[in-house]
Amino acid sequence: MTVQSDNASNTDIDTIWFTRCAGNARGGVPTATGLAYQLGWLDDEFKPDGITLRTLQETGNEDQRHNHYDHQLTNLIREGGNLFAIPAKAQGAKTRLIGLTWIDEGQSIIVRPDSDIRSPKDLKGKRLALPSIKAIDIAENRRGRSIARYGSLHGYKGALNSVGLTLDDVHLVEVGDGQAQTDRDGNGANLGGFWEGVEPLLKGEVDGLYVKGASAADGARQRGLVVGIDLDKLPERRFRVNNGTPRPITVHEDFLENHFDLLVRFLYQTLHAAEWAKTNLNNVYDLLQKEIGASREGLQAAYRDGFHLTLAPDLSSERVELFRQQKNFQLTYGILDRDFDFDAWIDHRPLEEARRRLESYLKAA
Amino acid sequence: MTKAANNVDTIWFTRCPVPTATGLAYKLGWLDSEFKPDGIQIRTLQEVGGDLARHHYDHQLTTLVREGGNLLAIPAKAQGAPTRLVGLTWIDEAQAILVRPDSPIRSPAQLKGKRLALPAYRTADLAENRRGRSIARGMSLAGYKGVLASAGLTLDDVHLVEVSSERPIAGNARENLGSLWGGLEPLIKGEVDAIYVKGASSVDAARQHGAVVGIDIDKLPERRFRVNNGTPRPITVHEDLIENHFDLLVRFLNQTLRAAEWAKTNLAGVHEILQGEARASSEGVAAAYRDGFHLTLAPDLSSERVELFRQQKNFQLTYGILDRDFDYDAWIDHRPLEEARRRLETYQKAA
Repeated sequence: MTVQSDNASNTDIDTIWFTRCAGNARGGVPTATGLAYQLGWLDDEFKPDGITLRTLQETGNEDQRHNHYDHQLTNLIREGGNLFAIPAKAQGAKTRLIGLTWIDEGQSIIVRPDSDIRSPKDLKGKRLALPSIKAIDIAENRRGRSIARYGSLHGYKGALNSVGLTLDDVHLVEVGDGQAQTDRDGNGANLGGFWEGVEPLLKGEVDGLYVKGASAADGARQRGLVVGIDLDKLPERRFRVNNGTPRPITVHEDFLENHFDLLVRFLYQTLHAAEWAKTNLNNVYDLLQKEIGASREGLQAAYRDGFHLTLAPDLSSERVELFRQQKNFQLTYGILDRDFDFDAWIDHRPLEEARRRLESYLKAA
Repeated sequence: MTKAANNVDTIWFTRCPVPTATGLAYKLGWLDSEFKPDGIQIRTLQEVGGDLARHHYDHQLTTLVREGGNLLAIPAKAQGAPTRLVGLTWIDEAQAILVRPDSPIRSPAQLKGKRLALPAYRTADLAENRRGRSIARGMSLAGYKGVLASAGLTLDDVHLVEVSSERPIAGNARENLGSLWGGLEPLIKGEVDAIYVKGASSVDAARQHGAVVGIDIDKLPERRFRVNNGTPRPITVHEDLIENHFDLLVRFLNQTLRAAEWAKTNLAGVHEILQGEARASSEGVAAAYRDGFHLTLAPDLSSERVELFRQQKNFQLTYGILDRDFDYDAWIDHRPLEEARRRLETYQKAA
C-alpha cells in the first residue's frame, strides 16, 4: 500500500510532523489524516525512508505546540481549524493552502429545556453568549486562538442569516473573564471556553449558547441543557461556515518546495484513508473514540448523515468559495491583521498528484 | 464661581479636528477667563503635542476633559481606562461615500455587489493593541454598514477591499489630510468602486482628486444609520476629576454649554472659528457643516443619544475593536452636566 519514492532529497528529513484538532477529550474532530494515522498507514508509508511521523498533540511539548498556530516548523502538515491558519497567514506565516475538508461537526445552539428557541427565527431579540477574547491572545496578538469567541460569533451569524436576520437583531452578552484555562489548541477541558456560557445559560442570564463537537453534545446533555437549533441542519453550507467548515490543510512553503514528493505521499495516505472510511463506518467510529475521546453516543450525535463518505480533502471551487467566505468573515470582524491574496495562497499541485496516484492504485487493485 | 481648585494648576482638554462647543468656548477665550482667577491654565493636548498627546487615547492625565471620537474613548474604557462618560454631542459631519464621476452609485441600494475600500489597520496600532486608533478602518466599516442597513443590505452584500492607510504624506497637511482614507487613489484608478470619508478636509480632498459624493450619509433618514466615530461624540473625564474636582468640571461644562448657546445666533462667527479648528477651507467647512448644525452643538445625555452611543459600543464589540465588554450604563455620570445646565439656566435668567 505504500508508494515508493525515488526522491533522494528525502534524506535530510527524519521527522514529518502533523497536527490535527484531536486528542483525548479535547473536543477534536474526525479527519482522514487522523484515520490514516490510527490505521498505521502513515507510519508504514514512511518507515522505509527512516522518517518518523509525529503529531504535535501526542508527542510535542509546549515549545512545539505553538507551531499549530504559527507554522514555523517547516516539515509540518497542519490539518486544523481555520481560526489559526488564516490569521497566521495574515500575519505573514509562510504557508500554502493545499487542501480543504468539510465535515459537519455538531454545531448547535443549546438552550434551557423550557426555551422557546427551536429555529433560527426564534433568536430575534434574544441574549446570546459571546465568550471573551482570552487575555493571553490579546497580549500575544493571536486573536484567532480565541476560537470560542469567533466560533460563536460566526455560528450565530450563520443561523441568523439563514432567516434574513443579522447580529444586529440579537443581544450579544460577553461571558467569561478571558482567563479560560485552555491548551494551545484551544481545546482544553472547558472546550476552549465554550463552556463559559453554560452557567450564564443555566442561570437565565443568556438565552442561547453556541457549541460544537461531540464532546459538547455530551456536555450539554450532562448539564440538563438541550439543543435548540441544530446548525448542521441549516439548508445551505454558507450558513454553516465556521472554524472547521471548511478545514484547511496547510504546509510551510519550504516543505512544498523541497519535499514535494513526501507531501504527495502523505496526502495519498490521507485520500486512501478517506476512501477506506466510505465502506467501514463502524471501524471509523471505533477509531474516532480513540482519536477524539468522546462517547460513542456523542460521536454518533455529532458525526452522522454519511459524514464518512466525504472525508477526503479537495480544492473544489465550492469549498474554495466557502473558505473565502470565512476569510472575509475574519477580515471584517477584526481577526486578521491584514488581508492577503487568497487565490495565490492556494497550491493545487500536491493534492492533484496524490489523487492521481490513488486512482492508479485503485485501478491496479 | 467657587474656588475648589487648590491643587490643580492646569486643565487639559483635547479635541478632534471637528466642530465642538468646547472648541468654540476655548477660541472665544471663555475657558481662559473662567479659570484665570484660580490660577489654572487651560491647555490643549493638540497644541502641546509630544508625549502628552497620547493621553488623547489612554486618558491617564487626571485633569483632562476629552471631547473626541469614540473609536478612542470606547476601546480605552474597554481596556480599563478609569474614565466616566459625562456628555454626548451629535454633529453630522459630512460622512459620505465617494465615487468616480461616471459611477452609477447614487443611493445605498446601488452598493450591492460593489468593491468598497477598507483602510488597513496601522502597524503601530496592531503592535500596541490600540486598534481603535485605526479610525479610518473603524469608521469606514461602520459607515458602510450603516449605509447598507438603510437599504436592508449588510456587509455581506459588498466586497471589502483592504487599502493602505499609511501612504506617505507629501506637501502640506491641509491638502493631504484626506490621505488618511487611503482609498482615494485606488478609487481614481478603478481598483475600488467607492470609499467612505468624513469631514470638511475630506470634502476638499475629494474635489481636488476629481471624486464626487455618490451617497451623502448625513441625509440618511435615521440617525441609527449615521452612527459612527463622531456621532455620537463622547465627553469623557478621568474618575479622579469627578471625585476630587467636581466643581471645576461643572464650570468647564458650563462654558461649553454657554458657547453652544452663543453659536445658535452667530453662524458666521462659528464658520470663521471652524476654519482654524477643522483644517479645511471655508467652502469645505460650509459643505461639511450645514443644515443648522450650529443649533445643536450642546452636549447632553438624552436617552436617544445614550442609545445611539450604545449601538456604537456594540458595533465595536462585535467587530473586534474592544478587548472586553464593560458595564455601559455604569460608565455614565449624569451629575456634572446636569449641574452645569442648571447653572447656565440660572445665568440666562439673571442676564
